Amino acid sequence: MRDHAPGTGLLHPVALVAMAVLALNDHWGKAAWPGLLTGKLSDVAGLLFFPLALQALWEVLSARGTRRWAPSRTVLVVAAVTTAVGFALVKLSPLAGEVYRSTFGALRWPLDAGVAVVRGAPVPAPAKVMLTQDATDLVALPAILLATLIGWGRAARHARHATNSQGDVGRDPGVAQVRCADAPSPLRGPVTVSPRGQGAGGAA
Amino acid sequence: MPTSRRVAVTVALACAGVVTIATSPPRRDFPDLHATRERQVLLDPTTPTFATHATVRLAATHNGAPPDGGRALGGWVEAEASGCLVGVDSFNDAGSCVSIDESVARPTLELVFTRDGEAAGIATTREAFNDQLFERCVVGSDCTHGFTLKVSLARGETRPTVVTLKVSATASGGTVDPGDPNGLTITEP
Repeated sequence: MRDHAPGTGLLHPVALVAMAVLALNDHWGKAAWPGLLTGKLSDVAGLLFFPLALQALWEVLSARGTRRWAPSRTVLVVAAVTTAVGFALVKLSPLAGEVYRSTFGALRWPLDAGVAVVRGAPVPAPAKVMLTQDATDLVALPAILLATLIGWGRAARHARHATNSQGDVGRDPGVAQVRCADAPSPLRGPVTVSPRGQGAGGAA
Repeated sequence: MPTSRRVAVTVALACAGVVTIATSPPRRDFPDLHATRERQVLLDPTTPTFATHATVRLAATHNGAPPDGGRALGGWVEAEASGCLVGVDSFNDAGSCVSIDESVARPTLELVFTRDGEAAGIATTREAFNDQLFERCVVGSDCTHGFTLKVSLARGETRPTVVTLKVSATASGGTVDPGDPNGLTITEP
């Protein structure tokens, strides 16, 4: 099943659409239709995919070099809470806002420099990014719940699939999980075994 | 994990990173916008209809906060009578006003700075104003900062006096050009 591989939570259609919406809205929508809707749309879109992106990044990094892996609800919840707290701080705290401006200014400088080089323009100096601190943007926070639900459902599907596979091939959940991810044929399972729950964070 | 799936996840992660970083545009400081307006008021106690004072309303209007940031408005308002600044508190000790010409009438000035129709301060003579709270403005709409200038003749003054009221405003900063060629205007609503 396509769900059952590290980082695939980010491939959920909602996450992909949210990324596209964020890019389109920030680079085109806001200028074309300035207003409340486009102002909040980017916040909603960002909060929809960012927890899943954090979770995906964690999964990809933690699953490196090992075949023992399972989507972790703990990681998902930590990603969601981190996103919510970070978003709220950036929107409300002047200090956090300043940190955001400086950090993202430094992060995007290579992009700006690259674009300038391609255009033959002078390479700009690193600059802070702009930020509108608006407490009403917090209305977008419930979008994180949807992202959490998506990740939660994925973990549940993974657990169900692992259980079913376990019945098919024996009692070793590690074999079941790996087979589920990598081997369409039950006869082509890997030798590596691991008890369920020893993967990245452990499947709930 | 199949290679195609691994590639898809890698691409998605890269897209997420680029989208997150690239949608935080660098701050661009647009040139300052300036606007001034003068209005002359005749205070003539010799006319039968003279009511001791004149009230002038001026408003500095600029585009509302664009999607990601707005401009800050600053400037000053002042009143002159016969070439010297006048005001409620200062005209008595404003040496220049008195020493240049003892006969200069001494109108008083009361300036009420309003925001959203509510009084936000009372000033005298030349008053600077500064407002960094433009993000409170409705996105995409205009923000108006109103001034009510009430000019009165000094008590006992019987001569006609012309008072010139001046408002000068500067809108600075800003991250996205709202697209209004005027940008900042001072009007008499």
